[in-house]
Formats: sequence, structure tokens, C-alpha cells
Amino acid sequence: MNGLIWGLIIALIALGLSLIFGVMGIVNMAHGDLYMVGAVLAFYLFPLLGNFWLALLVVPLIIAVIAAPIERFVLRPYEGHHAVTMIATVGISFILQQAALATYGGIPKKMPDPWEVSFNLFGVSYPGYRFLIAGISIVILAAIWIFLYRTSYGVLIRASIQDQDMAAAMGIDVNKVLVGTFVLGSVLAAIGGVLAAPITQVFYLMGNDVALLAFIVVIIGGLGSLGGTLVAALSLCSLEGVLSAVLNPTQSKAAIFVVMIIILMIRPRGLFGEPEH
Amino acid sequence: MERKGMVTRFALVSLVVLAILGVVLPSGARSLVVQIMIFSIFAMGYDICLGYTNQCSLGHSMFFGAGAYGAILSVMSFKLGLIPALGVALLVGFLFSFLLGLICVRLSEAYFVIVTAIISAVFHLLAMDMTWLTGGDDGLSATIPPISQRISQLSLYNPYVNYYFVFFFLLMSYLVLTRMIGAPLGRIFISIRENPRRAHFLGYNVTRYKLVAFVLSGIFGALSGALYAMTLRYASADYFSFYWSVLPIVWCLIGGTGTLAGCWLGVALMSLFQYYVSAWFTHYLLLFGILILIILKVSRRGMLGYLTGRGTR
Amino acid sequence: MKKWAGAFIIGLLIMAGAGFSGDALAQAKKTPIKIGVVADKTGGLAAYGYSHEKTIRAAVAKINRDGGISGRQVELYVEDTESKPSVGALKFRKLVETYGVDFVLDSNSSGVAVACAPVAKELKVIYMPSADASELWGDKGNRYVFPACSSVSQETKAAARYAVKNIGKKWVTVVVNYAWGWANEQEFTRFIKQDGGTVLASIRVPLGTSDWLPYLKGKLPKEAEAVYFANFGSDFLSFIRDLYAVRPDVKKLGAVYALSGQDIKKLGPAAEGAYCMTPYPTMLEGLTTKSNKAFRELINVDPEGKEIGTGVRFVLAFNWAMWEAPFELKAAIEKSGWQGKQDTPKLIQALEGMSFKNDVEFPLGDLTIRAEDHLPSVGMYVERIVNGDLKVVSHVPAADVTYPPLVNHSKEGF
Repeated sequence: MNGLIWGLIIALIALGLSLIFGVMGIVNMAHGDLYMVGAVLAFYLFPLLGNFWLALLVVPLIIAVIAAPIERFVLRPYEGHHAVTMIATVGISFILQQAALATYGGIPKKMPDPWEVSFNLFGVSYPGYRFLIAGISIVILAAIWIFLYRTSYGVLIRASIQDQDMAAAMGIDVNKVLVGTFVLGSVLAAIGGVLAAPITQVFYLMGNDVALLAFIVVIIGGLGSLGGTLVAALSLCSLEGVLSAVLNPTQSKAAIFVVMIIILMIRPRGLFGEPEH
Repeated sequence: MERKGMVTRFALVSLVVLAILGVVLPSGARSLVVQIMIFSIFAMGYDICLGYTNQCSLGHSMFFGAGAYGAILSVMSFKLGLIPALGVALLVGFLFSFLLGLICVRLSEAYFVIVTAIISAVFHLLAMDMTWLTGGDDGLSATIPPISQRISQLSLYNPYVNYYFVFFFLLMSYLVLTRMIGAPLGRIFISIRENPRRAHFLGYNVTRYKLVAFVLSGIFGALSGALYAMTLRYASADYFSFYWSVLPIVWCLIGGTGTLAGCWLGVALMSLFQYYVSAWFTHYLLLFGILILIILKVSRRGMLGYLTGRGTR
Repeated sequence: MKKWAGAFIIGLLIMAGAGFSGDALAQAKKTPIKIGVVADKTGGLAAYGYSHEKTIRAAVAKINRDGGISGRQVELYVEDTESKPSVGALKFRKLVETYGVDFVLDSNSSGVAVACAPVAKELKVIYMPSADASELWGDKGNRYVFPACSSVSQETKAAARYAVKNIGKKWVTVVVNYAWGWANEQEFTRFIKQDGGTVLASIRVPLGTSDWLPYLKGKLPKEAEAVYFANFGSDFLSFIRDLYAVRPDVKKLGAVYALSGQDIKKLGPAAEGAYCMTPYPTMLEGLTTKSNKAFRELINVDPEGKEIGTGVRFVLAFNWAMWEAPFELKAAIEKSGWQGKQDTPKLIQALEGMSFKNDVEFPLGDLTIRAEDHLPSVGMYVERIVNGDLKVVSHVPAADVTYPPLVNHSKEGF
């Protein structure tokens, strides 16, 4: 069950990555660190604002202020040069990590529970806020779905994923789409961090564990497919939990990787990926 | 081409300087330069992959670690001499890169990046787990035999011997790779980088050549891993970690992709930063991150690209 | 006239004599002793590097205030290992080759310690890490390596001893899936069998797992009375929460480090009653000797273990080791008459078998360094969470946690 909750958070992060990856073609090595920044901000904002849920609103604003200039001044100049952009994001990753270490410090700290209620399910006691986190994740995922598939902005983004040159030729202001997408993707990662902060410990390197998993989910689910990302995130996280019941931890992690590779061999575009045009 | 001439001149001058530094430098700086030379071999090999055939692999830590363990285990468990141990490491590197290449080289760009990263992560996991073989992340330390059993003074424990031993391999690697790039093979690589579809239509089996480039870069990655393990007398599962996959890309891009010797600048810069700046500013990586952004902003082709091309494309 | 000339010449001679002896005095003025530190300032062990560096600085400051070592001031050089063995080894070399340090202290990482140990022997420099992997006193150590902290074998032997007597006989081990976790699992199992207990199941969980339920639910045999666990940080938090959800009745004993850096009050009912091993009590009230009080004041730590002024929670498990290490060196240098690198073999021979008395410099108590494998004679405390507070409930003396040496370094050459 916890695998599902964690899967929802990973889905949020992976979705952000999929948007950045899909629209901008960027392998964003700093994506995990944006997740970390979200968690660190939540850690500071919670006692400041007295309300965890307010943090959920404030953090996206702060992240937008950080992310927009990054896109405009660091990433956009290297458009089309994927290796260069990737290394630029590595530089940003260094900066974010060391900034967190210098301010927040090197000691992993725990956030207080946002909701101190427990439920008893199937003989096991669950903290209440886990359900809240799951609920919020689902709400946000639904909101993103509506945004992408039911609004005109969403159409713009999806068109850019499909074919950027065509989109530009059709008069879409690609620059605005790029900034918007990057900000949206980063905000999703940061919100993932805010939601994860009460469940895990906040540490300046916490992004590293999440980043690779998010990339895997994006690839397996298929670039640019929201549904694919969701399915991949939930199934991978639950699968690991199931496997660990029979295999030892190393074997189950290796098994997950092998499953992934097999999926990619059979369907090189991912489970729900768009076919190459 | 003027640019190529400048790069060659830079490389030759660097090699001469390195040859002299071995005797001139104080011991601390000498150890640092040995590390720079070892990493330069790694970076050159990686440049074949990234700079010459545009394959951005995130899995090269696998070859680095495989080479390191190939050498250390040969010395420890099979009691091989130093040169045979290096030979084993190269063989292991070849096998790993051949197998990984077979799986990955045909994948399209973004997928190639991620899948190499994933497979490399699997090996990291296995290396951490199989402590009976690798020592896990605590690692294995070994006594290194002398280069030749007859001349026991010729041992890596002599800092000068260690330096020139590594220098020899840097020199050899540079000569071999330059020869290859100068040959028709190199030109095919470049044409694949510039326009794979056209290369395909010209009758070249693009995948096969990409595989060749990939395997080459893997072999040199393994060589540098082996030299690293021999110099440190230590190997650990940490050598398979993602860190060692990211470093070659940073080195090449900062120094200059597609130049073979340009990456030496990237290696030198990062190593000097880590060695000296970390002493007065713990968070030197923050400065280095800013430096990366500045360098890339000034010239997409890295430092050497800028110096030789004056920024023109 | 001659009288004046005579006096003048004598005056000149006196002045010359004074000048020469002044010069000789200047040459006899002592050059500093250099100590290097490979601290884990960044990376996964950043929390430990922070407390260790501060503690070592405080120790060296005290030594210098008290007149230095053999009248020579101590200079400290601190480098960052980035919690990576290869960087650690590079910085170790840098400290010795570039700065010319004579001794190197620290790293909490067993990987760094294993990487640096052969370098210490090669460069003929005494190395005192704060890593507890038992192999450092075995085949991965050498005559130049003097780890200043307790070993996993001592820690688990104490745990097993206390466990069987006071907690229960039927155990399950739950450890994180890497070298430190496995060492705890294997050694605890070995020692508890010797004391008449059994381990019914051994569970391994990957580092960084946030959901421990799949590893615990249905995996703990009904007859299991207690769980010995080796994890820390966020793993510990997830573990203790999920274990409580699955088996609220089961007793818990943690390895050294398990509670490091935690705010006990915030742990809640899940952690209530849990035991934990530690070589050094986190709270001042666990060891109220004069020497310990003085020690904590000097490293600027409040009775709860937080740094005064910043509120940062020191990881106190091995801080004491890094405090005592410079003083061990001081005593041995002064005893052996060490003047420079050429005397290091004499210094090593002095350290092997040396004893130190309980004092502000050795707040944990009397200490002896075993000659054969350099193992320090350290006992173990058992802490327990009682009503949200951490209390010391027992002490297992050093004699009960010692074990036969795995090697005999004193037979090695230099």
C-alpha cells in the first residue's frame, strides 16, 4: 500500500521530468535536486507558516521564481545541443546541492507530521497524513491531466512534444511554451519533495535516489505519455514491494532493472510511447 | 586545418610539459598530476564516444570499475604480474563494452542515455552486493607487484616509476587514438556525428561503427580504471557509481569535445579545483558549477574549442 | 687605557657570546607538529564530518593552550573526503606530501579507512580513523593504523551479551543492505549463539527504503521476542514506525549509530522502550563524571548533545574517539621522545600496549591500546528510550566485549 503512495509521488516527479524531457529534449540532471529543494523549503516553511498545506502553495511560487531564469538564461541558449544542456544541468545540480549543504546543513532532519491521526487498516496502523498525501497527489495528477488535455495551453505543450518545428511554424510562441513547461516540470518535482518530506528525511543528497527512478519511469512509461508515466510509476513501486517478499533486496532491485530492459527491448518507445514520426 | 593543427600543438606541448613535470614537481603535486593523467586517458576514450560519434553514454563507470577490478583481482587472486593484470583489465573492458554496446548502440539518443545509466546502475548494485568478490564499498586493497619480476626497483611504489608508467600509457593512448582518428575510421566517425542518415545512405553500417567507437571508449575507460586501481592500490564498488559516469562528460564538455586532447583541460581544471579549492572553500562544487555554466556560455565547444576556434562554428 | 680596552674586549666577547647563544636558542625554538584530518565534510556522511572536525579542533586548541606537544605547537590541516574512498585517499596523500603532516586522523567511512590504510604504511605515517569495520584491526589494517573507536565486533558482542541477559533469547536481525549492516548481522548472530541465544531470521533491507512493511510484515516469526536492528537516519525512522505497526509488542535493540542525530522526543510511541548500543552516552546524565562534563564543555555541547549556539545535533557515537586520538599521540610522542618522521617506529612501539587514565583527555574512562591489533579497550553503554527520554540503563565493561586479536601487527616490520 505504501508502495502505491510512494508511486504517486514518483509519478508526480516523473511527470515533471517527462514534460521537460519530452518538450525540451533535455536530460535534466538537476531534477532530483529540485525535488530536494522542495523538501528543504517545506522543512523551513512548515514552522514558519504553521500550516503544511500553505507550504504546498508557497513552494511552487518560489520554485517558479528559481526555474524560470534557469530556463531562460542557462538552458535556452543550448537548445538542440543535448549533451551541453545536460552538463549545464549538472552544473546547476552542483550549485543546488552545495547551496543546500551550506544553508540547511549536512544533517538529515525529520519534519513533524502534518496530521497527527492514525488509522487502523487490516491490523496495521497507518498514519493519516499518508492518505492525505495520496489524495493530494491524485488531485494534482488529475489537475495536470485536465490542464494538458482539456485546456488550450495543454494543447500547446502537447503539440510541442509532438513536433516542435511544426508547432513553431503554426505560430505557437515556442519560447513561452518552453519556459512554461520547464517551470511546470520543476514545480511538479518540488511538490513531490514537499509531499515526500514528512514520509522520509530531508537530506541535501536526497534527490539522487529519486532522480534515476524518475528517469526509469519516464522511459518505461513512454516519453510524453502522462498515462504511461503514471502506470509505470505505480507498477514499478508496487512491483518492488511485491518482489522483496520473495527475493532479497539486491535481487529484487536487479530484477526490476532487468524487467525494464526487457520492456525496452520489446517496446523501445516505452509502454505507451508515441511512435516515431 | 588550422584548428586541428592548434589542437595537435597543444597536445604535444602538454605531453612534453608532463614529461618534465615528473621530475620537477614536489611529491604532492606529482601525485595530483598522476591522477590527472589517468583521468585524461578515461576522458580521451570517452571523447571518442561523445565527441566523435555523438553517443552520450551515462554508463561508462561500468568500464572504469570493471578495469579497476580486473587489475586488482588479477594481482590479488591470480597473482599475475602488473602488465598481465593490465591486459586482463583491457580484456574485461572490451567484453563489457562490447556486450553493453550490442544492447544500447542501436537505441535512439535519449533512450541510449538512460539505458546506459540504468545498466550501469545495475552493475553498481551488484558490485555493492557481491562483497566476496568486490569488497563492497569498503573495497579491496592490494600489494602491487613490480613491473618486471627481475628488476624489483621498477615498482609503482617508487613515485617516479608510478608517474612515468602512467605517462607512458597516456602517451600510447594519445598516439593510438590520434592515429585512428586520422585514419578513414575517424572520418567515418565524424560523418556519423555530423549526419548519421547521410552516412547510412553512403553505405556505412552506422550501428557497427558506433559500436566500434563505443567499444574503443570502453577499453580506454577500463585502462584508466586499472591504472587508477594500481596507483591507489585500491578498488571499491564506488568505482561503479554514477559519479564516475558523469565526470567524463563534464571533463569533455568543459575541455572541448571532438578534440581528443581538449578534455585534458577539463580534467586538469576539475582536479585542480577539487585538490586546491576544496581546502579553502568546502563547497567548491558550487563554484565549479558556476564555472561550468560560464564556460559553456562562452563557448559550447568547451575551453579548447573556444581557444582554437575563437567561438566560430 | 688598557683597562678600558680590556673591558671593551670582554664586553664584546660577552655580547658575541650572547648573540651566538641567542642564535642557538632561536634554532632550538620548536617547529610545529602537523596533524592532518581527512574529514567527511560533504557527501553522505556530512553530519559526522561536521562534529568530528569541531571536536578535533577543540582537542588541538586545548593541547596548544596547555603548551603543545613536547613544547611544540600543533598545526591542524583539514581536508574533505566527500565521503568517497578515492577522494579520501587522494586527500590523505595531499596532507602528507603537500603539507607534510606527520599524523592523520579521521574518516568515519570504512571505505575511506580501508583505502587510506595501505597509503599510511607506504608513506610511513600513523593513521587513526574513526571507522568501526572490524577488518581495520585485521587483514585490512597494518602497523601504522590505530583506529581510535570501537569495532563492530566489540559493539555486537556487548549487544549480544546484554540482549540475552536482559531482553530475550529469540531474535530477528534487521539490517540495511550493505557492508556495515551485514557486519552487524553476522557478528551479532555469532556472539548471541555463544551466549545461548538464537537468531530466527535475518532480514536485509536496501538503503533508502521508505516503506519497510513488505520486509517486516509476516517475516517476523511469532516466537521472536526481539529485533536487533542496524540502520540509521531516515531508514531508522521508517523502520521503527513500520515495525511498530506490524509488531507493537516486540522488543528492539539498535546497533551503534541507530539513534544518531535523532530528536528522541519526536519519535513517539513507536520508539518507546527501544534499546540502543553506544560507546558514548548521548546525554550528559548518562556519564556524570567530572572528566566527561569538562569534555562536553570543551567541545561546546549541551547536556542533550546539541552544539551550543547552533543547535546542531552532534553525532556523538565516535566523537570521543577523535577527541582522544590527539591526546594519545601527545602522550606517546612525549613518552617515546619522537622528534620527526624517523622516530615514528619508536612512537608506534610506544603506542602499542599503552594505557591512558580517565581524565578530561580520556573522558570515556581508562583506555589501553592492545599491542597485537591496536584495539582500544572500550566498553559499551546500553541506552533506552523511556517516556520519550534517552536514559542509560547499563554498561558492559571493556573486559566483556574484548575478543582474541585477528592479527599480530607487532610482528610486522615497519
